[in-house]
Amino acid sequence: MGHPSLRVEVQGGGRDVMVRVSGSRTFTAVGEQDLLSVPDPYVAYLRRLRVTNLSASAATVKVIYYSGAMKKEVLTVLVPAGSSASLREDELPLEGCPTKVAVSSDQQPYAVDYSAELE
Amino acid sequence: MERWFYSVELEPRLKPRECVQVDGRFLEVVEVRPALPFDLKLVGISSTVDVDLKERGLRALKDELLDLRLRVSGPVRCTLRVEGAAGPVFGGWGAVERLADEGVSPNLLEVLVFGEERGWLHVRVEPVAVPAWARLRAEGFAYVVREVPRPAAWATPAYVWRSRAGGGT
Repeated sequence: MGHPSLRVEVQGGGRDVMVRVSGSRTFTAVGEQDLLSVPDPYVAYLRRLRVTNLSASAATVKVIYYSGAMKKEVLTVLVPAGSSASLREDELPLEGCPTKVAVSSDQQPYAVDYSAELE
Repeated sequence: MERWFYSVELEPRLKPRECVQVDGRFLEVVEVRPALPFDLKLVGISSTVDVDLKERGLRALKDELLDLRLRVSGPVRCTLRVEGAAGPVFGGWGAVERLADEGVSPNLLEVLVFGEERGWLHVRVEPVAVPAWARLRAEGFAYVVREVPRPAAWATPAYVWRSRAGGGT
């Protein structure tokens, strides 16, 4: 797994603080990998997602939301070899993720850039 | 003294030295302060869950009246029930139970919690999608109160007892 990058912005004040988290990770293994752990009082909403397939074959990348120990696949993205797929807010799941966001792919390596709001 | 009514703005309904009738008792407000915020997140919900919010920390101290607004988030449907709400002048909704989901505005989910025995909340959480999660937040004000003899004027939550003989405002 490549070295992750993370950027955090805090907006609002009082009890309605919203934290925007942006990160980038490169994965060098197939199967499920953790992307973002959600701190306890927050719920994460994905706002941007870009998947870059660095392999020589088309990849099927899945986004998985965890609610406690239970998981649910919320999105599947097909990415041709050597290209990337960008998803915006209206193409991403509306529901929030309370525990952990994970990704899985049948090809490697691949990179995931994301932006999420923690509310 | 203003009448008790639904409002969108979150502000204290009572000021010090004003009186409110709760559970048949007249209470004078001694002090007003923001209530400690309450935030509960439930995860991994696959079937109906019953939660006593008093046990999760949403409780008033003795001689304290909490005026809270609740906000529900998540793919769930909640049945909020006010426990210990016996009596015609206490409760919060005129009925003892109310359905709520994340589309219900917090100003429509306002409750009073008095001391340790009146108005504590119980919630039944039903998942809409599985696995579901729920987040319950409450914010509002805490009134430190003391019991007084029948005052010249007092407030009564209008949604609890609209037609009432006698005084009051």
